[in-house]
Amino acid sequence: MTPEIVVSVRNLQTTFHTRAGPVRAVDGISYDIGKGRTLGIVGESGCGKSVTSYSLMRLIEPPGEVTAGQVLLHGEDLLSLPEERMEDYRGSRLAMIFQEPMTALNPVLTVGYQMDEQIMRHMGLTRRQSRERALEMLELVGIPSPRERYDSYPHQLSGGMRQRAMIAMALSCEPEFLIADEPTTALDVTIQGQILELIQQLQERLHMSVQFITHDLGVISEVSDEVLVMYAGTACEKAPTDLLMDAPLHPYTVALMESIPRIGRRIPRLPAIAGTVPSLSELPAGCPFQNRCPRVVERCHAERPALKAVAPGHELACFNPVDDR
Amino acid sequence: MTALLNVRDLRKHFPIRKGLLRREKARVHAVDGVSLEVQPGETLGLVGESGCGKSTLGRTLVRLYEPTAGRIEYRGEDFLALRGERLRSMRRNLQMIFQDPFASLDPRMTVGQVLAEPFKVHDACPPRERRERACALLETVGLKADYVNRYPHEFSGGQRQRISIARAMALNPELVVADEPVSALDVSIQAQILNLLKDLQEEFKLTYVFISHDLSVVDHFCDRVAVMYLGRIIEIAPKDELFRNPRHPYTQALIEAVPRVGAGKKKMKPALKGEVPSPITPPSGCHFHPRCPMRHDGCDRAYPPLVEAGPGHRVACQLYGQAAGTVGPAAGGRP
Repeated sequence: MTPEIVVSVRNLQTTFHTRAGPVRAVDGISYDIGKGRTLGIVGESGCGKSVTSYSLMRLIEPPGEVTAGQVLLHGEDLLSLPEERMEDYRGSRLAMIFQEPMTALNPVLTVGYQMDEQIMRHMGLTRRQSRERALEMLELVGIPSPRERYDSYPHQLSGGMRQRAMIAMALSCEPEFLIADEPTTALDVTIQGQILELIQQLQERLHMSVQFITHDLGVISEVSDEVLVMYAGTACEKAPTDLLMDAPLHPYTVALMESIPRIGRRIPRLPAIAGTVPSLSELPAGCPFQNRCPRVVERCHAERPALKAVAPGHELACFNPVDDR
Repeated sequence: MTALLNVRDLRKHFPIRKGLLRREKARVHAVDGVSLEVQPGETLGLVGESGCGKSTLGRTLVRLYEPTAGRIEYRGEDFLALRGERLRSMRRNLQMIFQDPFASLDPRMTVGQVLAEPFKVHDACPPRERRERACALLETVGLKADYVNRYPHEFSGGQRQRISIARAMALNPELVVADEPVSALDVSIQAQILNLLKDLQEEFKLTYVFISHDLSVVDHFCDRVAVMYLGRIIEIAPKDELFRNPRHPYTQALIEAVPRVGAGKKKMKPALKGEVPSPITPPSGCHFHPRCPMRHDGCDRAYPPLVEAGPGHRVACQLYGQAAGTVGPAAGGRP
């Protein structure tokens, strides 16, 4: 059974116009997310996973610009909407939560005031009604004594509580699509578990589609239905989570999974990936991973591999995949 | 074998001063009675959540902070009694690596100047040899010697961390306290730096105190692990023992909370409820009791001492017998 597609990203390209010339931070990414499903996007700093999210929300500012592609929400292209329509959608139909809650919360306004603003704007409620709604959301995300917290300023909350407040705000208008950009990276591991559970419960309740971005393969493995691996602005591999974790094919995915320490794994040295991610302004022709790839072949230098289906649900961009396992 | 470092009942409190007279109103009990030994050549991991005091402990061990109370012996000598020149020369043996490779290097100094600084401060080699030594250090940590004239901003995070490591290695230290040295790095770079630290340990017979919040990294990198909660060690054991047979309910929850690669999508169930309480007014009795799933009568009264729970395994929890050698829950200890 394939769920109804809620979000469909088609050949998204985001370019930053720098003094050194145009830099493609995201270069031709495509994926779909079904209703109530979670797509995990994983990759290292600079791979374009956050820029992809900001592009979807239309929050890219100059010198950046979405230069090509479509972002379809139920078939409607968000990228060609007038800005006023997009403002109606942001916070109501699609919402975003961030690694650092202070990116989203205004330090000089109380938590309640900020929630009310959004709820009144999108749900057309009065202040009294929106206060009820805000309190309900604060309670739902597990903030103790919501009435007091409603009148608190963000800095009066702990890191975990701020994250909950931001989630309460993002979900107060019941969006159908949530982008979670490293929502637990700054949190302690026991608090991380609490926040992941919260996102999952709210997802089930609201039947939301979620795009979950993280660099943590453990987290991605536990929260996603499907995973997209990004490297230097491009997609390397996309597969259902179990398949990707059990039988990755792209040399980068394989190397990434090998290089992380795991509890109980006894090896004297970690198989590190040699070298560093190339600068996006100096990307070589061909595959962006070629300079670090143990399986590089002639063709990788000349031609960039496109993401192609190799098995049902499994897409791969590689000329010489890892097949000996 | 005498311990390289022998720490007894170490405390570091930070006063909170308020008002015109800056009177002390309260205290942050960042490190509150820690005793441990570090053996030469081993890697001791310090783990815990933010605010547990692991970084403060690390800094106090090398006397970046002066402790409020307690004793530190370095090779049997009273480290805290050292003053002046004796202290300065002792500091050569104790170095530190920090988490943020962007904040820990002076942006106005070239790499060569950064690396020459330790030689200058400790007058460890003639001025004209310093540059040569700096180049050699760069090569030791896997960077090119001709990077010596570049500034920190010209390097990536991983390369900067290599430079910080090179600086720590300059004076051939015996003990290096590494405070979250790979937390700010990408996973593929993290592996490179951990391998480098291992190689250096082998080559220079280093002893590490390795501070991290990441249990997978600690399990990979350390020989023994101490788990901290609100300023105290609640469990300490060789790593295999600690990860296979964790005794303290907090350690168990911490290990359980680590997301596992390849575990597959699952229904999230948080291992612990609530948050770490304030170290200004820690809970009475066992500091962990308000969050503890195994809490019972008496946990809020007395702080349990660290008791032997196996070879090299000590735990501070009422569930385990007070008498040395007793293993398993104390009789009648649970409701």
